[in-house]
Amino acid sequence: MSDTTVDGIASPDRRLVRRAVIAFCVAFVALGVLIPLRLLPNPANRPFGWQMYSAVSGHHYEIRFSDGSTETADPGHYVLRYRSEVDYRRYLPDLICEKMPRAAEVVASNPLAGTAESYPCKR
Amino acid sequence: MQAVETLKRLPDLRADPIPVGLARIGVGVAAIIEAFEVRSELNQLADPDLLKLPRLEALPALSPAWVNIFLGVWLAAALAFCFGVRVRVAGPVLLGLMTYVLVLDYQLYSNHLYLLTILTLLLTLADSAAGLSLESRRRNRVGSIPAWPVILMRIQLSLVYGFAAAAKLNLVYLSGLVLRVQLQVPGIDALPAWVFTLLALASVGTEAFLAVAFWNRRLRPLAFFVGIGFHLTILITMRVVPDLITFAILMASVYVTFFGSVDSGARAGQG
Repeated sequence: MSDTTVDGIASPDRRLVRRAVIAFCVAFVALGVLIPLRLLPNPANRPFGWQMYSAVSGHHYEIRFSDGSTETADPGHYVLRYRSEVDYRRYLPDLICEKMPRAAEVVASNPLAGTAESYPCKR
Repeated sequence: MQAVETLKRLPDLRADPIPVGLARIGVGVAAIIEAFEVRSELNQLADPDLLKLPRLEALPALSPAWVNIFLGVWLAAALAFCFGVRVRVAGPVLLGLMTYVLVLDYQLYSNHLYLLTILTLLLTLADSAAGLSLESRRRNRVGSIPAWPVILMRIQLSLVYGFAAAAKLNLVYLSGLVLRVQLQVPGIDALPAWVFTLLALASVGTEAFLAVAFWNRRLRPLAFFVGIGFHLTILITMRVVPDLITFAILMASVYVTFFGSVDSGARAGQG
């Protein structure tokens, strides 16, 4: 069996190709299992984890203006593609404040967790 | 010990090129669909009003003019891949372009693009142009091809469905809340909560079944129809987006590889 050609490649390169094929297969399966396994305990749809539609996007954003009025912010207007594993609280409040000169603060709420955090606009 | 012996035999195994050629066509079609989605996203990335989350600061984003060139190269490579013309050139070109998109910005990651990249790599390594391709017609012969990339594609299918099912084993998903939010069927909001819990359990069960059933010869035809039905149901009941169409095509492409023979190569001509 060991004399069988691998894609017509002659010996002694054949042995090297065989080893490379086996190494590639082992690495492929090991990474294919270990990467998603490592990501599994994380809560949201982690990239490279095959966690499609396993959770709902976390936060809702509300803009509060200086005159007391409020407006729901659609993250889709500010991000390229809303990904639930990205914690947009680190980026969106500042971006919304920058784009909305009348905004006084942005409130990020998570209906599932029952939490609401205020991010005052730095003027 | 048996696993080590099986592993040693892996480079010698040969596969039927016809189902793999069919898989290559499916992946090529998915790459063509994906090209237009990527173009739209790369153009949006040039919009100064949108949030950027680059993975690598050193990697430059493309100007709109370059996006069109990028799309042109992607489409040409995807068409060549689909028709089986110079796959060993088209495959690496596609791989390079896809990797660029995956690495460029955190928001550009998508599971179907990641899967498309993996399958393009494996089909390039598999000499997938040996079956159902313009190249194989020109050569007027169909030989066997290395089986190990085909086996890896099959394993990939199990990993995708297996981890998709495992990730859904959380209280939020099993409560049915995710499906209540995602399903876009008129009047569905009126349904009681237990229906969504039942649907959630059914979806996890289906994915777990698909992860293992294709490996069983007797269950394989059933798995094929369950899988096709599963993806059609997703397309019908959720908002149809190119992502879901691409994902369904990619998974169906891997399904067909389970219906080709893998053996020591004595039967099929050594292509």
